[in-house]
Amino acid sequence: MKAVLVGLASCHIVLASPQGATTPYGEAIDLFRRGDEELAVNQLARIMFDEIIRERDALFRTLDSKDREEAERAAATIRGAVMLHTARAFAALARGNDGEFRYQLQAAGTYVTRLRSRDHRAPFVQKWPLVVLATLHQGRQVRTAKEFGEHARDPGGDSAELLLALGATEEMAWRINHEDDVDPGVKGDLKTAERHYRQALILSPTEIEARLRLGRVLVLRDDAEGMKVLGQIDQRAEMPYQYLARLFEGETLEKRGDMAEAERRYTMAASIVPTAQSAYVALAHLRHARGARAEAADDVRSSARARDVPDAADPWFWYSRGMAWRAVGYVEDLRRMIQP
Amino acid sequence: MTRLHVASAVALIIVVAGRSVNTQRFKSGTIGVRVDVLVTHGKELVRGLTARDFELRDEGVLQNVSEIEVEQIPLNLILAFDTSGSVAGDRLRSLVQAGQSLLDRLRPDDRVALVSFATRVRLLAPLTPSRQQIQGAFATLAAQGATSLRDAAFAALALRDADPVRTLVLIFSDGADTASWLGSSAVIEAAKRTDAVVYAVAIAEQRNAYAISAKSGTSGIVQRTVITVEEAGKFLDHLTEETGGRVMFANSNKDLRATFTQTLAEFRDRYVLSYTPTGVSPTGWHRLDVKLKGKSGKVTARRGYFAE
Repeated sequence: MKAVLVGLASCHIVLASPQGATTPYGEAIDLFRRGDEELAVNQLARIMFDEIIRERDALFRTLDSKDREEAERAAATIRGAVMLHTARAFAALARGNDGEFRYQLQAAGTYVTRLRSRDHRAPFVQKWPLVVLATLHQGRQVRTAKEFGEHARDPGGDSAELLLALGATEEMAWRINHEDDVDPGVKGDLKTAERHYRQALILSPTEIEARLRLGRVLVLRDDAEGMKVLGQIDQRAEMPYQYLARLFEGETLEKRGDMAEAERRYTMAASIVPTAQSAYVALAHLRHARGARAEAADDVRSSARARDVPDAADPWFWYSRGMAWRAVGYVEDLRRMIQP
Repeated sequence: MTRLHVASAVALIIVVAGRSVNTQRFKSGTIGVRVDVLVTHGKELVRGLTARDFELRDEGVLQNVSEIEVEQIPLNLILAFDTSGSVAGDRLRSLVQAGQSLLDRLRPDDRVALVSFATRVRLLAPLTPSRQQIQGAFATLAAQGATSLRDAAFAALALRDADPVRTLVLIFSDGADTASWLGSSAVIEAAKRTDAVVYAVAIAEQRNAYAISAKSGTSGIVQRTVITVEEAGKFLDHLTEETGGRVMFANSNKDLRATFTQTLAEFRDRYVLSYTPTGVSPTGWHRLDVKLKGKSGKVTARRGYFAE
């Protein structure tokens, strides 16, 4: 599989060794929490299904214990188990083993459902679906992300971040269908994406990414409000957001036939993040179409000649991967949360 | 006659009367359209044809064509190599060897450029007659990252300069696009505005398939090898078709070298027809239809051109 997945197995989750990890399953969880992820994930592969179920049921019983300390310890172990199964799931997906991926993700999900029943606003419960979605976005696994996202919704109300991730899944699927010329197994609906982004903005009005994405889906849907929303992303926003807003404005203006203004927006984008390539490619393409071949070739040469520019220097690269850029931060958060 | 501002790609042409060593490569010229044509019969190339064997229609209007001696036209070869993570290792080594084998087969007046693409598109060497420069660029190839196939295809097309030479864009990719800004249609539109011929080389993934055979009176389960086209195939199929090129498949990494040299040989065995458009609009999209007269064979040529 060509897709590059953020290796959850490479996350270093450090946790004080829990007491009494005497079974292979308990040891695997313990190893994972100590940071021996690869060993833990490999050990998990050797544990029989019925043993996992038995241990899981025991953990659930302890979670209901009236001894608050004991129950908290069980909850921490469960959070470790969630991460262990999730890491195993993505390792399986990277190997192309969809069956095991689903089985392991379901195992993790069962734990999360139990934790959610205790407190549906618990940070771990809220953050876990985000890390799964972000990792699926990184691998452009939009069909799985869509299925997973539907199950991850909280009947008590979704968080702004989850809504953002759900919208990004729709947007990615649409893009892959329409521009990448391949069938990702799900069409992607810009109207649904728009709804998610609007809800996210109601919950978190300062969420600049939701605003940018809302503007983008609106212009893709030829909604005049789109340019207005993109225009709200000005110099107060961080550079990557400004860059993308100008890039999307340029694209919209180009489609409308306003080539001079489109060129100006692309040029502005290029000046905001000079190491990004997408604005130069857009500029070159526009000039090529207008017959300015020499200028187009110059644009290509100037951006493609740049050496020592990191691959990931282009905000478009990250934008096109939905929430993938947040995956590392999410994992860091979860790492802290599996401490007892 | 209204002067035709034919897209540079479609060549402000130039019927070759001879070859010059200076930058003005052609001694005399007539403004017109040049069409690069491949003729095959089964898997064999058909050689020895002349302009009289072709029937060319521009927007359905029969044109009076002449043939340019391919031998007389220098070649600009623009290599666009996929260097995403999946190419690392043996495939990259084979790719470099295949590229080097092409250099050995070029003529002194030919020029080469090297573009690599992964997450970013990188111009490792601009069009140059220097084989040494290209070899040096090959040495810098390293594979990692995503695949900006469409952006790279556009970049290669945009690098085609105004010289009235034949331009072959040779794209190697082993996977689907995962990082480009440009969409498929944007690149195809750009391709229509150039006269470059795009060939793509892909690795054919071979799998064993089982089927029930009733051939020759025998029945039963038979094993056969099927070739599965990678996802990139759709875009590359479309792009090569529009420009009159085609997708060539290497059966393995080791086969890349032979596939590359076969591609170059095929390009050299094409026919270049030229004509001054008559009876058609001086601007806009012109649909082309090229056929053989009284001979059998499959003609592959670009689908049309933009007159600007």
